[in-house]
Amino acid sequence: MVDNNAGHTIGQLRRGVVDHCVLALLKKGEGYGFDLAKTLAHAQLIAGEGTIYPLLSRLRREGLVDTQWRESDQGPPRRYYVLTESGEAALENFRSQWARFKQSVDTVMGLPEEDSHVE
Amino acid sequence: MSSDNDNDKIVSHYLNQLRQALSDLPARRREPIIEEIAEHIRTGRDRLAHDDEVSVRQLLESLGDYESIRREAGLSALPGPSRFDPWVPWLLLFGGFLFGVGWFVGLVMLWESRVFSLRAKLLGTFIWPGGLFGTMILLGLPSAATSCSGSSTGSTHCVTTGFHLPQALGLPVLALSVILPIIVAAMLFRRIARLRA
Repeated sequence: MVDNNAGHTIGQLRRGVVDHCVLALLKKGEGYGFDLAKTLAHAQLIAGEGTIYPLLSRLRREGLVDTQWRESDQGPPRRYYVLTESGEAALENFRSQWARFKQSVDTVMGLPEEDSHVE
Repeated sequence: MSSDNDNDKIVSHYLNQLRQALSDLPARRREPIIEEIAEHIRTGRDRLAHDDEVSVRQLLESLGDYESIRREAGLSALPGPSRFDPWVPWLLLFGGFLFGVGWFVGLVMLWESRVFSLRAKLLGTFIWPGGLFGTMILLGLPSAATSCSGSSTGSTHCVTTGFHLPQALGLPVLALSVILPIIVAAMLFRRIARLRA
């Protein structure tokens, strides 16, 4: 059944890819939960900043990310997230599949590649 | 104008509500999430230009609603209360006076309900069996009786049977045994009110 509500469909898509967006952010370097939440919320990839924490907790249980404690100038030590080797492999796997998936959808939707980027 | 203390209370209330929303999660999974969200709030407040009530509330709003955090934690949507659930606290509190049967009906409804947590079910069961009726029976038990008899020598011999609590202990026990089931019932009422809100 086709969902008439595009917002709902995009929401489901977003939930499906946000885990890998977190892995992609951590690929650039270790991340502090607060900053990861702000970045993803600003990119409208999460509904609320608080949702990042159960997500990070799940990624840690799955062994895709790990945590390290760092001293902070602004108070108690902070927990930083880092990508594990499994996380890196999962990210690479997703990237290649995502490129194919995106290309297929763009083709079927009749979106030329250069116009397919959302402003 | 709000003080730091007022803002701390707003944050504390938010975290308590969140803990309640995640109560289905095992503590070893729930507490680290709450801890990190508390840290997120602390960091956010440190970065606020003005730590006033409006800014703190905006910060909490930016975290998203409890339902989305709950969903992200892999929990299904919170079920709404059934039409029987609001009767549960009443029956647990006063059902014992209905020939004792009402309390048992309330107990069955409590354990059948999908909206009360295991903790709430255990509290509702054990504080106290029979509700206020149970309390009344319990308080009637520790009564002492003294009987005296006179002897031919003129002396009086008294024997006390049963037992009684010293007044210093008895009054707090009386107060607690009445107040605790009322607190548990209020907790159950609050749960229903929150789900209806």
